[in-house]
Amino acid sequence: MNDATGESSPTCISSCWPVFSLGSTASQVRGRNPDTIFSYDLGLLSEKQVDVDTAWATSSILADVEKASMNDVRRTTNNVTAKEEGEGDAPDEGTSNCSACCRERVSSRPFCGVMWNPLLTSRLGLMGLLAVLLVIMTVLTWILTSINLQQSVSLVASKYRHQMLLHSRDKADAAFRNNNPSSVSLTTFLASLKQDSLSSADGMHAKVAPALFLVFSVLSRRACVTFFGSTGLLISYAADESGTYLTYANRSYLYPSLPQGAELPWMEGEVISDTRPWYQWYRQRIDDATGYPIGEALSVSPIPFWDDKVLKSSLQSLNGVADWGPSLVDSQQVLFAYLSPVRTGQPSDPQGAVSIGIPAPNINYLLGDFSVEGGAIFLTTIQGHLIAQAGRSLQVLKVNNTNELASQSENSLISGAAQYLMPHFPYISTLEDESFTVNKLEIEGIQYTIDSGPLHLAGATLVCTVVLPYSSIWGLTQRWSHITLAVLVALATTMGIVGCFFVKLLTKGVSNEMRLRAALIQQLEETKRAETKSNHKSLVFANMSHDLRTPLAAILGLIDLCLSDASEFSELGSNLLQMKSCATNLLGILNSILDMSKIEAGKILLQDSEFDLVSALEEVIDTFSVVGSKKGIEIALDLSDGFVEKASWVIGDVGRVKQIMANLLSNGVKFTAEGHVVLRGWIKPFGISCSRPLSSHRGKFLPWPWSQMLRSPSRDKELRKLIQGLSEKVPDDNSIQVEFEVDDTGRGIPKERWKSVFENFVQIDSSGPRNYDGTGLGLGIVRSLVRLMGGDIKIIDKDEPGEPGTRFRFNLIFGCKRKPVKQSYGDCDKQELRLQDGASLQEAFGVNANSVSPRCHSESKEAFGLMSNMEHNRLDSPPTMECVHILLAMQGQAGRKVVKKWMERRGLHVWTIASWEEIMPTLKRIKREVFCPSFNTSENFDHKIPECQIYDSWIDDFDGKNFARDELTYDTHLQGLVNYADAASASNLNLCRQPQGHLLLVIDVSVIVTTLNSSCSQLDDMLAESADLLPFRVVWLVNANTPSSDVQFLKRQSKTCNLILHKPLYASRLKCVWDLLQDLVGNRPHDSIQAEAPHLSSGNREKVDLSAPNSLYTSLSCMSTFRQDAGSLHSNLDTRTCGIHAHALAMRNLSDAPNLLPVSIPIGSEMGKQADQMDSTHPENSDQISSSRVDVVPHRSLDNTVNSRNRSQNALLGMHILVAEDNPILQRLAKTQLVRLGATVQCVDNGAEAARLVLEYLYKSRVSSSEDSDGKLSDESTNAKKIRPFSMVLMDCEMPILNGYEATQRIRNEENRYGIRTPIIALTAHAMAQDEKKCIEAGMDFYLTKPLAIGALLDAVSKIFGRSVEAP
Amino acid sequence: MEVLRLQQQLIELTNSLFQEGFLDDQFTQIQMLQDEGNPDFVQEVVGLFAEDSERILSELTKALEMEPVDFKKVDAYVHQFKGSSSSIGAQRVKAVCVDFRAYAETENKEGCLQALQQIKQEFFAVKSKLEALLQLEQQILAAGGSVPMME
Repeated sequence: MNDATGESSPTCISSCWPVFSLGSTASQVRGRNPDTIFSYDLGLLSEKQVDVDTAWATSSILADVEKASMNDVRRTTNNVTAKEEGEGDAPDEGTSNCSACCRERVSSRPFCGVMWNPLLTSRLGLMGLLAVLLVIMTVLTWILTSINLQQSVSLVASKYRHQMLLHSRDKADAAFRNNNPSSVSLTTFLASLKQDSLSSADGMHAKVAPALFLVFSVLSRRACVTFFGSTGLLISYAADESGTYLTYANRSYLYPSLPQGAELPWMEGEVISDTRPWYQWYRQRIDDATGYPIGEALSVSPIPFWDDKVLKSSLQSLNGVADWGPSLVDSQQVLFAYLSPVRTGQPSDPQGAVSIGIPAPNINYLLGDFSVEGGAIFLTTIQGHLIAQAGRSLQVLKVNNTNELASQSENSLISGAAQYLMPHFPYISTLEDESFTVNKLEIEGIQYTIDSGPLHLAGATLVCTVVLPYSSIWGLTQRWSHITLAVLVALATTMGIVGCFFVKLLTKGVSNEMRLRAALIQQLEETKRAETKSNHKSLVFANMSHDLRTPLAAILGLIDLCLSDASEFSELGSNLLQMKSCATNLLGILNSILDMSKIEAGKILLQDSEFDLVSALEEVIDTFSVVGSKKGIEIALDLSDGFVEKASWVIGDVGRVKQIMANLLSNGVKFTAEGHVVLRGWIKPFGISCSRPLSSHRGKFLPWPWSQMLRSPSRDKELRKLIQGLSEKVPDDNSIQVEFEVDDTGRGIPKERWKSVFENFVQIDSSGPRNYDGTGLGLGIVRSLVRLMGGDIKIIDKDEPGEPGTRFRFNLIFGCKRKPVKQSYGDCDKQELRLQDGASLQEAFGVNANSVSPRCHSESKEAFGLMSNMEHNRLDSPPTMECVHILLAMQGQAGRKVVKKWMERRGLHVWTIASWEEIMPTLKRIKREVFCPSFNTSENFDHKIPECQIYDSWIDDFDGKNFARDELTYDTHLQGLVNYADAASASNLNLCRQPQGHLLLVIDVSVIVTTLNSSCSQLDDMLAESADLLPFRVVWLVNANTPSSDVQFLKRQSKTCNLILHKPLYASRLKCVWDLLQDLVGNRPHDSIQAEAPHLSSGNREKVDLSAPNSLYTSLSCMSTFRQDAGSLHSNLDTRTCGIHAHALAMRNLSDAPNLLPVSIPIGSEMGKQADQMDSTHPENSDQISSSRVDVVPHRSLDNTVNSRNRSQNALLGMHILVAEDNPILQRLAKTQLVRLGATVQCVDNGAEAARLVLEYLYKSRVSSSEDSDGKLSDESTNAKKIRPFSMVLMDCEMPILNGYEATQRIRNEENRYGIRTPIIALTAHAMAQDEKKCIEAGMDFYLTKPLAIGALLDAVSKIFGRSVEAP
Repeated sequence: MEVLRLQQQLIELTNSLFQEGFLDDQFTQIQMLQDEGNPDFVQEVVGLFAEDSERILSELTKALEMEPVDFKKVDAYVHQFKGSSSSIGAQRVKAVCVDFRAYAETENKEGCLQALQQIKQEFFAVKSKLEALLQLEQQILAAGGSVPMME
């Protein structure tokens, strides 16, 4: 039966079921493992059988014992055993049922109905066991309590009955005992007499009568002593209540002629008184003491005693008989007589018989004291004749019925007993002392116990029987034992029921748990399977990405191709445009899905490259500010922490960072209808919250060897692993944590959804109509990326509850290689190192470090962590900044706040307004503030104290409008004062010509409600009069919506427009403002502004921005401190306007700063006349530079190296080079070398990738070329950045996947279709001519051997580009 | 004084490396590429080299243990190794590589195994030397000195 199912999984199941120790529950382990179960079931079964067997055994043993000990008990025990058998059968049946069930189950499907069958089995088993135990217990208890009792009771009872029997026997014995010997001795005496004395009346009287009287007097009164003569003579003594009488016959012979030995004298049926009147009997009263007659002799009628059967039989017997005999005194009376024959001569001829009898009432009297209720005692002869009976309910035996058999007695009790006993009489008569006992003989519905024993009299045997009702002895005991049994059984039953209930409960619980566990295990497996499945899916998806994207890219490219062919404004063209936008959208969606799956599959790898975080953020902001301004939302970047100066250069994946920002910002913009979206960022020190290993903390503060010792390698490794598991990047000393916040004022996300929005494919509005497009993947991707970068993202509460919108906060961890993190807590080693750096720098450059770079100085100070930010900024800003006032007329509260904060940090006074009409009053107020602060002291103005913090908050609180109203009310009051002040200041001015303060106006074009023209003139009017006292600069902010005519107009304004910046106004743009401010404040004493200003105004500048570098160049000679600023500013401008990447190089060290000049040449070429100006300034600058260079060249570099470097420094500037190289070393080398030469480099490590990139750019460049020339600045720059064809490819020949030759061929094939040829330079380690040939044949332009030599490369480049220039 | 001593030591070590033919001009080129922008460039390249070489060596060992030996594969590995060693200027390694390739081309397994041993020796020698060199440089920098430039 075990092989019914082939399935078996024993190991896993058994390991899953630790409950196995619960033996019987094991059978509940369901269907999985039929073998095990079945064996368990068998075990259970056999166990049960054993139990039953033992029960059997015990009960049978008990039965034996009891049978041996007493018969009474046997019946009950038998009953019990019978009961047990019955019960024993039940579990047997149960188990057989169970096994049947099991068999059935095993043979059927293991999963259907498995649950309850074994459950039932085990339940039945347990219940059966319980029942058996209970029965055994009950029986034992009962036996122990009642059987013993019964035993003793029955012992007592039997003794009692026996005694009773003996007693009655003794009594009877006593009654008869005397009769016997006296009759015998009398007989003997009479026999010794002469025959005549026995046959004659005289003889009788003389001889017999005295003897008889003697015997009579010895015997009790009641007795009757008689001599019956064979001749009819008779002498009898008897007594009754009235006295003692002598009865005698007066004739000796009735028939004198009758010979001796003849027939008896009476005929049968003859009435003697009639036929023989002479034959007389006389009765005479006698004195009972002497025997003498005292009364008259009365004649009585004779009784024909000869006919008496008893007398006859006694005459014939040898010893005589005892039986009922005739009483001579009273014919009604029957005597129980003992008769013995008297033989004188021949023994065969008896002369008569002596009878000694006891009247029946006397015998009854003997037994009469028997007093058992419902019982009886009786005497019978062996023949069954009833002799005497006694009992409470019995009357005295009627004498006339002497021959009555006991079995025919009127008394049913006696007759019943006698009937039963009759067959046993012969047996009973043989018994000696013991008695014959019959238990529970049922007579007329009542049980009786009968004891019967023999009574031996001389010559005769009687049977004495005692009949007792069973209940009279056993009644009470039996009743109690019955009650006990009933109680026990009831108890056992109750216990059994309760037990069964518990068994059921228990098994149910256990089985439930089993089922639950099984379900859990199943669930777990399912989950695991589902997870693997999902993983597989993600993996496949991730792998598909390339296959999906390529055709789409091809489609896009083809659409572009078609577009270029299609005529403009035709339907085809518009359709194609639509197609293109659709395809682009599709690509976007696809990209996000693929990104997600890539992240899920763990395939995404972050590229680690150094990039300018700030500029990256600014780029993103730029992109979205366009979208935002279209929608009327303000986009602001708030880097109030100022990590521009601190650590904007970080290592990380710039693309991904931008993606994160873009996703969040686009989300913000999408869901914000009005208000602003602000991106905040600040450096966050690694706190406890950050998953930083303990050991690294410990190690940091201990000397090296100790920290090494403390850091147990295994633990450290574990920790590291753990942390690596948590975040990709282990935050170490070279890490920086930046926290960002994206804050919008949109409709917000309900709090309960805060967590779920980060799930994939979740959109807040999933139920309602889709107002917003998107896949719902954005935030999921963001979260994944943020986590990948070692941070986490969450939604946090806004500052004030109820404020609309959402605030995402997340942190990213970047590496930072060059600039160590500046944290507020001291990082001593590093700071020392930095100091040493500074020192070595000083040493190396031979210049005073302070003079070289004040910022460096301040930084190193700050690095000690001793100075707060504020102090730092104070130090940063010259004291003259105290009296600089900034008027910030900007729309958009968020942006205004950001700018204000930024300014404040630099110690400037900021006045913020939001509308144009406030400008004039505010300007007046500023003037008052500047010129006569003392006047204000008398007034209760809070802002009299030039404490910018208070001041600003005041303004902020009252907001622009309020301020304006206040202004109006105070205006009249102050008018006079102001006039006075103006006058005073004018005179003051005349005296010292010292400007009292500086004013910088930052005006958003969008605040102007009237025309720009009128506004400008208004402004001019207002400011021009006090220009000497209050020199000013005006910065205009434009945005993408500003009409170009306005911009043009502004550009033409010389006085009222010094700088035009695009909104939003973020750090690098603020830098421009700051530089302008420096210019305003710092240059003044040197009058360089004066010199510069006309030049600026007269110049046909294309861009106002360029004034800054210009002025810097001129001031370079005198202001060495400006170098750095110039560099950075310049580079920022470059980045913004020209998109040239060389700024990285420019930023790196001071000595390189002059080299920016050549960099700017290509920019300058756009500048028309400006270029000449540059050129003219260049030589003197370069002179200066070369002279300084001699000083500062580190002695590692050699002159010729420097020269060659100088020569080749920017040889590849502006080039975008693809390096296809599988060897990482060579890749790194080539990249470094090329970057050195000013190129931007992209590396790939196989041919296929190289070909793909080149071709991708090819398609895209086609696209861009077909749609470009739309004049917007920012768009252009971003486009240029995005779609940047490679200027050159360095192609290794031997690479995995696709080697260089094949890659080149692929590229060439594609390019031929477009008529483009990207130069490809082969790089190979095969230094043989045939290789070169092979390369050229493959379509490569040049051939270089590894390792890459710069000179050779440059030669090749010049040759190629020379040729390629010539070629068209 | 410490710095001077260390610098002296470095110069001696470098000179010996060049004289013994461990390194050639390519290494100087690499050193020159190191500047403030790439302060650890040499170290990085050397690290890359060591990493890459160890990988190749283990692959080579594996490839030569295979039966039959895929000499094409061996040749490709040696080629790679040659490329990387020449790019770092480890010219002795490179020289052995050339021999190795010759063996590989003639499918001479014995020769290949010998060459592998040799190449391992050379590689580990140059690796240790480079590490010593870099350590010395680090010490000098740590002591506040600047790394002297070799001719």
